[in-house]
Amino acid sequence: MVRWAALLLPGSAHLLERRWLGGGTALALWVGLLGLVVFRFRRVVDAVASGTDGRIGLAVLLLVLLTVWIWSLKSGPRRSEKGASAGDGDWARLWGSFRENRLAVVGLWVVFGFYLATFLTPFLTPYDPIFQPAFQTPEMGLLSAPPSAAHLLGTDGLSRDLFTRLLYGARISLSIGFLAVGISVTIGTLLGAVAGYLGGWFDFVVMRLVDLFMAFPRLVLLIAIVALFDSSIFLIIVALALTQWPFMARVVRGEILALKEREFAEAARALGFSRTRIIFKHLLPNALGPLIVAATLGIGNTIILEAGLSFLGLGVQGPMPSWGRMVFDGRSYLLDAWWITTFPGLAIVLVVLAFNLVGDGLRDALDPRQVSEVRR
Amino acid sequence: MSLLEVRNLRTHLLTQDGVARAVDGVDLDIPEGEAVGVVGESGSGKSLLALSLLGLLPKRNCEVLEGSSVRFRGAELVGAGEKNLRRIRGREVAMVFQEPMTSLNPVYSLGNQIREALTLHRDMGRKDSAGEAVRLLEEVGIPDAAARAKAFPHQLSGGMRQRAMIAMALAGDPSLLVADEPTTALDVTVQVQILALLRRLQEERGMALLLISHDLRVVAQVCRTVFVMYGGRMVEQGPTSEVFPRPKHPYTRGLLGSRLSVRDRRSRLRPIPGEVPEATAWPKGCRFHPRCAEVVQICRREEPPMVSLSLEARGGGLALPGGGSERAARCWFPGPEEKEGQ
Repeated sequence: MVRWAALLLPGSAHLLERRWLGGGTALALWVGLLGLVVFRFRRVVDAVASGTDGRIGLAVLLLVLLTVWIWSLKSGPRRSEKGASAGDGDWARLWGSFRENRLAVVGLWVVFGFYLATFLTPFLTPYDPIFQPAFQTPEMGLLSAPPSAAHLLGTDGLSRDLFTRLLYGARISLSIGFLAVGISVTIGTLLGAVAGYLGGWFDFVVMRLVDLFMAFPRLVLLIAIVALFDSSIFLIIVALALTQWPFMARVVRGEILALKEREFAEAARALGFSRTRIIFKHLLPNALGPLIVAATLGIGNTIILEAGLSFLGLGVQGPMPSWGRMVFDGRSYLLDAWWITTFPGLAIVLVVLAFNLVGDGLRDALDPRQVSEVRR
Repeated sequence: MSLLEVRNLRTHLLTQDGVARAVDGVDLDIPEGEAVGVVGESGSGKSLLALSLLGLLPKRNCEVLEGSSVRFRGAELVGAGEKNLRRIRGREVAMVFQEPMTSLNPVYSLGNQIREALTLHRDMGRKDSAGEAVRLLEEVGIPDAAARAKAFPHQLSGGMRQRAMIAMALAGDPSLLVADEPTTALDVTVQVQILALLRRLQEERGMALLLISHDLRVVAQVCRTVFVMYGGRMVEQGPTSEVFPRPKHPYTRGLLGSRLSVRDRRSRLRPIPGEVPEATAWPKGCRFHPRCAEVVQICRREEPPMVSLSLEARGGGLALPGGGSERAARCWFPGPEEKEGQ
């Protein structure tokens, strides 16, 4: 019985064993995604038929379903034989201590949910993010309509469905946040770590460069870069990364400076390890905590900065939506139609908060001393 | 030829008060497969000596002077360049440090840390290195080694960590192990165990050992030969069995006298008066003379050479050309002024 349940409804077996979090998530994902396909069958077929957007969405959807199914079978009713301390690998242990922090897990699911939604967008909504129905067929479109069954979050001042625009905006805002921080962390870590360890002229040059960047207000620097070239999403990502790496470099350099004086660094040198190995394999993992905190804060910061740029007309160019742009588009309707600014704003808050929770959880999980304390 | 030959090693430190001549003309020989001890108070330059051997000094304020020589199997290490030194470090000469609490990387398990050295120095694959890491942990006397290999440093006691450090140092199968105050930070009971371990490893592996300590008993338990260091130089040297019962240099006698004896409760503790002078300004003449009870005029004026005291040595009573481990002392009037013990 239990086996059949596990086969058909992933997560149900876990629920029977009172593993609420894992089972509930798996079941919700399974039912939700299958339900989406069944109840919105026509829309899914249309989307898949009409373009790559839909095909990628379908592939991601199937991939998630498959993952949930396999996970549920592998960790299913045979739980007892594996024991509580399942897995000895580094990743298993990292996950084990990460999930002790419930808030971090919630944050991770929120982030995952947003990213999943960006892929499934064409299945989730029948509307177009750019098309303005009220100006084509006046009886069809509603300007600044409040939330209703037809328009979950209402429509904006140009009669576009807000929920749809929020989903498409997530694509832009999330990729900008993620990519810009990814690039800046890479550059900042490389330069900061090497500068901190080597010292000397290299350190001097890098840190003066950092000072140079930090001496300008970030927004002014961004405006200058974006104004110099034609604004595009790619340029905005590069500009955001370019103005953010100095912060990452400073964090990493400071950590490395302290770490390289520790005795294990000296012991590593006495063992004949090369400088590259000592920097990246021995010192950097010890500096991951502050770096991850800086990076997750950075993602939130970047999303907000992008919003600011869009407000000034230098960010994402309309009519494509980004969350920041939507907030500022709605500012003139603030008194009449609160939903136009509120929902994109809430989305920003939610994502930034979720990223910060994940960052906190990761930092604690990456510190091995934390593990034994939590696990006793 | 000795495994390691140190000649006229001078390491100077730039400090705010000027140039500190911390290691100032050290001669030291470590024969293949033998245990050699260096004893001295803090400030005598022992640790800096150890770091100088492998070029591990911080470059920004330390300098090994021209004319210094450290030869390992005949190959010069001073000024050999980072790349060549790296080939020696860990593989030929390994080090164990004083502070086991911080000498292990907190983010890796013991097994992984040892395996890294194994893959680097002995070209081992994943499987082999995992087994060998556990075997090394067993060799240094860690119980339940297979499980402990997965433990992180913070989960272990100080003694266990020091054992793990030693296992890591052994990973490259070195022919010389340099242990800088390996027991100082440990409980007395654990100290004895670690010393016994070091002696056992040295004998079983036929590995040379350079044991640096401020504690005479530590060196006496493990080493065949002992060097006494003061003011950046060796002041007495010889077989342990001769130096400790019959110390020739007043400083060695002072060290022995400032030990507590368990057996004889009434014996007075006789500390050496004064402190080790600053390395920026060593006293003129014999560097020990301001603290020496037997000081005479010449001690203040001129520094004594290292004089051979060995009866068999042909040049007995003459200045030692440098190196060797025969009985010698740097004193104008070597010999027991007062009977030690009785």
